Amino acid sequence: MIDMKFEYIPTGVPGMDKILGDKGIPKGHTILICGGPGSGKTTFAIQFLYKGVTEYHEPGLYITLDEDPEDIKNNMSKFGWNLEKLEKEKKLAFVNISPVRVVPSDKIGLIQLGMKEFKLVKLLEAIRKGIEEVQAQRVIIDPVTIFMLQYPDETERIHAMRDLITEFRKTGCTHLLISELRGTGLEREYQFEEYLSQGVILLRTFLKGDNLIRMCQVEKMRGLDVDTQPRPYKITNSGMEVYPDLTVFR
Amino acid sequence: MSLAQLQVIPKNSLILLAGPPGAGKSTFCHQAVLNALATDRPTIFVTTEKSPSGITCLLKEKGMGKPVHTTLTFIDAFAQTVGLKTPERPDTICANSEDLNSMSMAITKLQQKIGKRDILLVFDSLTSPYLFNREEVFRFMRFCLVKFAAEGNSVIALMDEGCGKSEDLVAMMSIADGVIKITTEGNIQLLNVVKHPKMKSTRIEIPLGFKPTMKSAMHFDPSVMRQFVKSMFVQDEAKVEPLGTLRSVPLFSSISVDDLSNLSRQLTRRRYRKGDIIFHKDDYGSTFHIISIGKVKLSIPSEEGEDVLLARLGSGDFFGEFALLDDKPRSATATAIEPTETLALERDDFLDFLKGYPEVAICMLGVLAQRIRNLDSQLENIISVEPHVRLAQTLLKLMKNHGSETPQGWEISIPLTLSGLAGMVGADTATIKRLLREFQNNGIINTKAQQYIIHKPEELQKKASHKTG
Repeated sequence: MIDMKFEYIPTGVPGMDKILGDKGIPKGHTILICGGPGSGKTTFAIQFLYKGVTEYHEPGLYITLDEDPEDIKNNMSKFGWNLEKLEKEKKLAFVNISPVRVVPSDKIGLIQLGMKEFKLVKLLEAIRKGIEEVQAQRVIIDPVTIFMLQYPDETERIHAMRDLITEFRKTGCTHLLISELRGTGLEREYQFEEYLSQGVILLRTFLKGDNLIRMCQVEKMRGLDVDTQPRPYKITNSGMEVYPDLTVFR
Repeated sequence: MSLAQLQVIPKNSLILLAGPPGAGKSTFCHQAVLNALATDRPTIFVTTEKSPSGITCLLKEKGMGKPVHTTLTFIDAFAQTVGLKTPERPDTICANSEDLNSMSMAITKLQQKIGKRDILLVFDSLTSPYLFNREEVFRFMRFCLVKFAAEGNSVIALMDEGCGKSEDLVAMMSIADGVIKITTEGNIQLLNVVKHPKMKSTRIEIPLGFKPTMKSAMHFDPSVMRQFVKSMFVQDEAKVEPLGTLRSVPLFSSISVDDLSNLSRQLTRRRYRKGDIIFHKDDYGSTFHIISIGKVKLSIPSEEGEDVLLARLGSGDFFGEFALLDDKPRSATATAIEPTETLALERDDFLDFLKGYPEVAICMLGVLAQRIRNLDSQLENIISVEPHVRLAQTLLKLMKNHGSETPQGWEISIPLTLSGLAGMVGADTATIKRLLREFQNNGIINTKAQQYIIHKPEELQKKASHKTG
């Protein structure tokens, strides 16, 4: 099953790589991180970038479509991560394309509807520029949901997503797409993004009495024998931590 | 097979200790912890009904020395569960007994931190996790506790009998490698070893020793009898609300009932018989006591036998406050001179409370100042009695080391100022001056401008050997 051609990159989240077959994420793949509000998606992503730079010498790019990069940097400083410094050292880049409006440019792929395609082009352009700027090897798109929302038609949306992923693959970087999880409970419907990406990591939360229980599950990961059991995780004051040997108690 | 053997929890096994509330399960566990600590075995104590500081206190009372943080660690599943702020302690990880995941994560975390095998895990108790989670608790026992034990450690878990379905207890017993049932019958504690990985099933009977029993009253000594009756009475009377006691303490007079009830939740009630020692001088302790019933004396034991009495305290008074302010050994011994009940408060809890109530701190300063004044005057007494003995001893030493015999007597050949001598004796110059004059008047010595001549060394020897006055 395991293709030996793959190279793997460690996530930098303690315990996570053990779930990922003791290897990590296959290099160059596009992985979807799905989670409900407050489940730690952004923390996971930033930790992936930060540890990538500080421990594995892989520069990172953070594309935000939603939150202001300054807010993210401030929020993440509580984990002791000095993102500002890495940015100055040109090891990390933040690109904010949330206010993207009308920018005329070439069309790409199958989408040719009004200004929406410009947004796709703009997004790809920003990614390319960002990657060039810091020689990024790890790229985050947070959240991809916003981008998808503008395609009300399901087919259109799937095509847009497929185009996006195809473009990502060309860069050779490992991409994490952050997506909101619809339906936070234990029973839920699958989202189309999950079919399209090469790996899906779910960060799920549910209430037990008055306590929020967090569990992390690798739903799929091409090219890897993974542990698909849900495992508890915690957001501590030094970031996210997964307990790969523990069972989740409901 | 003895109780002590039973209290050593075998490796790779989970022992379930079941029994009705108050049968002595916790006491059994504490003993097991002390045994483990005595052999430097790392211990994780999961507590769901008491704060770690409360347990540290109980263990100290049972003879635990200053705990080494790496040996005894806690999982505090109490504070968060009841919604209290959790005091930060280096040896504690917090969890919530409503959330079994948090407990299993905390156990793993500590296991990683300790980093070696052969850990003793005490789970006191499974009752609240069971009440919160019911079926999930069985999975927890299997996937967390049994797994932990199987990794080369030992686990002892407590469960109250009769608080859930009886088949649930049976299910727990089937998961555990060993089951010990504890019950009390009259004055006898019964330990029923239902199954055990190392021993055959057996029963152990232990007479309960913690109350004045009829045995001591068998001699029909009226005073023993009186004390027996009185101690029974005190136990009844001791059901006073801690809140009521707190309100009657002048120290807390300015604090609202709500805040006091917050404080009262952090108190542990302690009972002592007449003559019980609450703590010894030089013990390490971090507990502050407020007397709710009874009388306590504070004293400093002296080698000569007679203790130096510092204070006698009654209900509403407090003691042990020095332990709150510094982390030093006790400065005096506290003894109950009547059947006594105190409300004990841990240093961390009280310091937290003080931060919110400077007026209590100020009031406490007043009481402390008064105590220091009392001590000073006592000290002065001690000094005014003792120095002349010490002076005599010092002079004799000087004579031996630096003396030369002259026709007048022994002359100390080194120049010695009054303050120098006072420093050597450990008294003030005025006292030394007075004492020297006294010695001179008795014709023992003669002093003149930094010169000391001893006329009667044998008299000086007599003075030096006097213990008092």
